[in-house]
Amino acid sequence: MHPFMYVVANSINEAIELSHDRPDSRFLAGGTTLVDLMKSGPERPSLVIDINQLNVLTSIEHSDEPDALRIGALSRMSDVAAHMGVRQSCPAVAESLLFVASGQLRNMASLGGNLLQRTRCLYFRDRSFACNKREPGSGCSAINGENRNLAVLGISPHCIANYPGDFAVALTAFDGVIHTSSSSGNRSIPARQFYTLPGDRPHIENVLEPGELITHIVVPLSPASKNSHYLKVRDRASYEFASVSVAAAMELEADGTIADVRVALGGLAAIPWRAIATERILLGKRFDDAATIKRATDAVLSDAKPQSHNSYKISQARAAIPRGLRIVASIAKSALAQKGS
Amino acid sequence: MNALTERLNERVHDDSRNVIGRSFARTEAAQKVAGAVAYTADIAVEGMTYGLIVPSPIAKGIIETVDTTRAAAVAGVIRVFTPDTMPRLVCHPEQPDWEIVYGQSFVPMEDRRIVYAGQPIAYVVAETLEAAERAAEVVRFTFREEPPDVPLLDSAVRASEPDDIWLGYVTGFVPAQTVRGIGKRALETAEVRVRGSWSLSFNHHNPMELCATTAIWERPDRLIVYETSQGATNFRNAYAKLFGLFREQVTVVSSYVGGGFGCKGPIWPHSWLTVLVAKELGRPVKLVLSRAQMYTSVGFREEQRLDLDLGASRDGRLKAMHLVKTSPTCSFENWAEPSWYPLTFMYACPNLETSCRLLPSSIMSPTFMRAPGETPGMFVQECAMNELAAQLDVDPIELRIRNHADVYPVDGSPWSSKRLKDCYARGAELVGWSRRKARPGSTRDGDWLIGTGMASVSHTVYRQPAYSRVALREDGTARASSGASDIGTGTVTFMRQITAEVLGLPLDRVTATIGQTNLPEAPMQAGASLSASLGSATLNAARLVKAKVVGLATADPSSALHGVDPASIILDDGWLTAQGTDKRERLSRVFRLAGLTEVSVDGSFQPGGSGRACTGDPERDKHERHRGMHSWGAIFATVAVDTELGLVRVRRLTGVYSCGRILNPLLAKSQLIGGITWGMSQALFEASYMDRRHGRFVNTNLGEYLLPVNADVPTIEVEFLEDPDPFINPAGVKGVGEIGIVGVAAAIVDAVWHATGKRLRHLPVTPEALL
Amino acid sequence: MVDLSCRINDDNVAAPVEPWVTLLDLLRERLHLTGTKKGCNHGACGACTVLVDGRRVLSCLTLAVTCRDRRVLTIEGLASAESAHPMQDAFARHDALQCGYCTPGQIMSAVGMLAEVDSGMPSAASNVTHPFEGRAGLTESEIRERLSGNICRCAAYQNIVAAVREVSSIPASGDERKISEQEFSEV
Repeated sequence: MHPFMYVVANSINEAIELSHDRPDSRFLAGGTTLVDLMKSGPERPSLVIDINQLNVLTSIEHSDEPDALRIGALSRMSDVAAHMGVRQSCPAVAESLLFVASGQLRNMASLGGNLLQRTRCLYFRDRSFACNKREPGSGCSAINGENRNLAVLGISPHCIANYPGDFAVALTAFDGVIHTSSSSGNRSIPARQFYTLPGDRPHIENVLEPGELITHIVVPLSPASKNSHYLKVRDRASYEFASVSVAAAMELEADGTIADVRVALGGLAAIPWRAIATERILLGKRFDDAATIKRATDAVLSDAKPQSHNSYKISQARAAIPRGLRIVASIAKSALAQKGS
Repeated sequence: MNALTERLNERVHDDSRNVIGRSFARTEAAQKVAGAVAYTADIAVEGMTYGLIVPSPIAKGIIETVDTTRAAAVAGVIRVFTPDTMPRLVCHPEQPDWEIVYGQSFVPMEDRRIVYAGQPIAYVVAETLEAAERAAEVVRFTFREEPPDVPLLDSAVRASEPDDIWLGYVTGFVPAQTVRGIGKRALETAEVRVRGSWSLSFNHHNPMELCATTAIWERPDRLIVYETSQGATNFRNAYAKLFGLFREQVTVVSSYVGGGFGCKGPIWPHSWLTVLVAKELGRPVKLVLSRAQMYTSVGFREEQRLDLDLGASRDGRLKAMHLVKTSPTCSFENWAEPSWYPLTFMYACPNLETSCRLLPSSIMSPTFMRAPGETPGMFVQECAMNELAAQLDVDPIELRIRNHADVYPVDGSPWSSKRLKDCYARGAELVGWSRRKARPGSTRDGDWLIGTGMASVSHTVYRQPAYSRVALREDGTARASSGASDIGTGTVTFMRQITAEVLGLPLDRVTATIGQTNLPEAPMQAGASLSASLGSATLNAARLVKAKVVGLATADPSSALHGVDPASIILDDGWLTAQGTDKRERLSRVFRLAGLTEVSVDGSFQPGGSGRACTGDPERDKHERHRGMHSWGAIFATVAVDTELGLVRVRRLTGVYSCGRILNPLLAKSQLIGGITWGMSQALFEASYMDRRHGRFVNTNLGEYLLPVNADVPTIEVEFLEDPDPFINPAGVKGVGEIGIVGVAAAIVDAVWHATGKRLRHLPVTPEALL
Repeated sequence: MVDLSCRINDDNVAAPVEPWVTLLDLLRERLHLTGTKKGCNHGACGACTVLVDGRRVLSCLTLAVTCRDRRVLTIEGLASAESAHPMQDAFARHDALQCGYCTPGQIMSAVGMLAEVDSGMPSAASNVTHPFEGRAGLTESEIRERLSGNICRCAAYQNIVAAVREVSSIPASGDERKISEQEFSEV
């Protein structure tokens, strides 16, 4: 690892001050992304600001007015996933945390850090390969390379890296909001606007400014949130990133038509991919209308650009989206039945 | 931990003299669960420094410039060696070598040439690990890069077809082009044909323990090396040769090793570079490879294409097989896994032709990986047999029985023992094979289609010369010792069991010592040969000790057993007793009368040539014919396939084996479970992605090179059938370390076909193949 | 250099440490507690698992300096003076190991896992909307999923499961993955 200065922040203000005007600084929470990338090379901060003392950022609350989950960014993934309020009000969020990595990593990783995890692209992680994300303008080794794990949506001729995380996908499905603090003040960033497409600047992955600290995450809840599921497709049964994932939620009218539906995709896109077109096609239709589901699925996949080794992801998504919808429809139907009884 | 050790041994101490064949806990289990076993990298020595190699990022070319200024300036760095400054070996590795197994003959860091990615091009030594890591990051090179040669297996590149392949001194030269009968011409008149091209990806061993070498030059003529090896003897012999020393001047220590699977048997460059550097600096150097470096430092199983053309008569009896293997080898020597080999012994097939095509490539040398030869050879053969069965609408087991080789097909000699048909039958019984519907795709479980497949299993019995010392002491304790390592198989435990049984001692009175070259020479732990060879050597030594002690008891006039027929005397827990009489003598008294505190014998096992009988009775051996010597089995797999998502999950794995005498069922079963999981992993998970533009493996980590996790593996059922075999060695042991992997991939591939109707011929089976 | 003071097993440790030293390297190279193993150094294998303040974590991705004022438990600290920890005992008797290299990590992970189970933490194998009933809810699938962060190349998995099962006092149920063809429907 490159040598660095290490300092502990004892308050949010201190953390922000320490990082102000220091684009070469990084906040250290669980370290599961930062320490890993400092070992491989893409991350070389000269100042590491330990924010693990900021206990005020570890609360997990379920409020009724407004109906939302408010989760401190320093909460550990395992604690958030274990919280009954989270599990019952929005199972997809809990599942998007449980189906990740390993027990050890879930204990270490913070929610904020998890949002900011970086691509697993093998060319990004190895400094001896050309990588526009790591060194702008140097080229993309993944295009026409070994790219079976990379993206088909949201990519550009400069970068086909995929966003590997799961929680952000669920957050995107539920219009989550990411709250931050910096020396310029506080702001609230909708999840759907948080991540940026690679375009011709793949080294920029989100709208955070240098020195801006994620403080908490809000997940607005709705009747659909309770009827939600996170479907994660991967080669082996556990401890692996998604090849394709689907965060889905559904609310049904009594007559079986869809009152509300959320669909977001992970694994195969450069950023968490909210499938708005899919949702629009499904609204008002019956949950078991196979033709509509197919049309809705095609709508989000029509833009997919298969690379030399990852076209299978499109086939997987073509099956995973209806599968996810089927699961949440079933949950929604049970919920209806319970309400009726 | 004493309390735990005592309790573990308590369980095994009882009045029964039957120690061999019982499931005693692993001797070192108490230490292993305490984290108290010293693996190589755990050992610290005074004045130790940390070494790291710097691997080449290019696969082919020349180093133009190297700048070590920044690296040398890192605080704590002692020296940075480059190809210009690296000291030289006294003697070079050469292939073939009839005493040393080298991973490859190419010596990095002698000049500025680069012939494979990952080749060491600098070597850093520092006072701390962090300083070494920091310095390794900042050595600066410029290269004149050349396009690497990494042709696809089906490319039109000219291949070489060597007559034979050197596979190390144990097997020697293996013919690479073979013909039996009229070879492939017999295919022309076959009534039924199965033809296809099967392929396997590059696989890497990935033992959990990273390779490590700690080199200490006590004096210019005294070298000690701690090494992660599958047998210290090979490394000791290699270091002696490479550094111009006598063997007695070198000690290598490898006792407990964190898995080897083939990669830690041969000696590789990072090891001797460490010894070179330690000599130059006059300080001990410890090198531990990183996980990424494990993909470019210790070989791998090469990717290979296996074109098989099989011809049979309408009743399924094999007439001819023609196999062409195409695989890459390094640019500097010929290596080929002998994948054609199982076709020569498995079935009664009168005509056979095999050839081996090598594509010289910008890679390091591939090497042995669990069940070399058997693994891919049985994969292609068993897949073809299953396809033949489907084509003829014959039950797959029935087809195999029709082709059962009653004698060793290579030369018509008898088998030493063979219970293959019983393995088929018992396995079929366990899984309910008779209920399997012939039509694929006929069983569903929700989103999953269910299928079951099977395959034959076989592994050659390898035997190597081995030496073991057994010592019996007057206090009724005994010790066995040999320079073997234990990569997880239970070496110490079986040595203790054998010694205990022969000398009539409770197990807790017997210890065993392994792992150093100043102990009697043991062979490499490879080819599942160690328990057979070292077990037999230990048996022989223990028998000689017993004979000696009995001789002392009968010779001494004041002994109660004076003049008794030695053959009637048994040893039992400190007593020598003439069977059927009440004449007995205390062991301690026999020693006292003889004026001894200990009787120690070095025993050996000398197997002679392949197939030669080793019954323990040399007279009998002289008159026994050659025999085919194999372990046998049958493996059954049930899978669930989600055809929409392209996922395969294994629901059940069942293996029935006849592997000679099982020294310790608990430990043997662990080996089989491990091997079967390897087979499942090969079938569904493992592939090293080679970026052919750069000649580099890119998934050099454990996140993207997939190994099975706990949730992937079902509870595997393993049964052993009694298989007494008097010919293979005095212990009757065939070894179980390799056979588990054999046949599993074929059984899984057939199960996938049975579930979906889809015939897959490439490993690993991935969603890409199913969608 | 940062002054680190923390508790490791039964000892108070106070030493200056560079911030870039991992807890794993501190344990192994400086404190000579070599029971914790380095398998990959990048958080992908679990061999380096220790407990920090009772929680299982990966020491290879933990900067040692972040352990200030924390309690670290390694495999060396698991046994008491009188006896082995029940998990160690069970692993030895079930042969839940072969080469033994991943074993300390497996055991620490299993101990940490049971603490999570006792606090009601669900896993990917659980029904998340329902409370998790602690050890009574530990099926084979649960154990396997929860220990999937510890790779074993020797594949001692089923014996590891048996050992953990014993310690968590669940008798072998019938939910081992066996095929019963009566369960499936004809296609």
